[in-house]
Amino acid sequence: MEQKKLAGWLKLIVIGIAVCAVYIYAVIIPGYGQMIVRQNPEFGYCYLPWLIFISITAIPIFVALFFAWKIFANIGNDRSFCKENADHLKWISWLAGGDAAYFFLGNIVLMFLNMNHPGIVLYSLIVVFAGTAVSVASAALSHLVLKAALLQEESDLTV
Amino acid sequence: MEGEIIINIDVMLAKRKMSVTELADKVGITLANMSILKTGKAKAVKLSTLARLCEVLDCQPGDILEYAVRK
Repeated sequence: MEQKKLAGWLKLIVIGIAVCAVYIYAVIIPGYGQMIVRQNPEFGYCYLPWLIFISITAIPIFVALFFAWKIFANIGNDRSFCKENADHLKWISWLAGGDAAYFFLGNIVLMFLNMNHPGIVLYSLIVVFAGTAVSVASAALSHLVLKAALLQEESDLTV
Repeated sequence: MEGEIIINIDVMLAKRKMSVTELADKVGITLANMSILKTGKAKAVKLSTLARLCEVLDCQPGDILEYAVRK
């Protein structure tokens, strides 16, 4: 596949993920929360804290999508292996790891505030694991892209 | 102290009354690569390129390569 076309498809995927994320955070999560409150009015006091807590997890996701967009723009400009891309991937790794840590700690804090259940905390570990996996994968990719960038520079400056 | 290899082709170009463009063409490398060579930005030079340079300029590698200590 041509590089520009590939970059175009990748950017399309970023837009798709962003649209899905907006829908999940703006519609599905608040709607699900309101449904739980309707069925269990005694949990009404938990709705707003949980909504704020989960909404904050969206910030690193959108920042990571911005960095992903920049990476794909570089790929389109035939700069797949560059230090800039390695740095962007490192940022994505930190954002994913930070988001996973925040989500785990937030669950623990909400449990101590009587707004959570140990069973929910256990389920949240799945999300934490997914975030950690993205973080580790991004860190590995960052390392490999940096090595490739150094090799490319060496190759470009070999006469 | 770290040393570096300096490529001096200006003297040989003047001796052979050849332009940079002509040299690049005869050696078989692009003008961009010749510029990289001339400005000292090259990280590596292939032996085949060095051989072609010596052939075209009718000189020895020592005539165009110089070792200097980096300040």
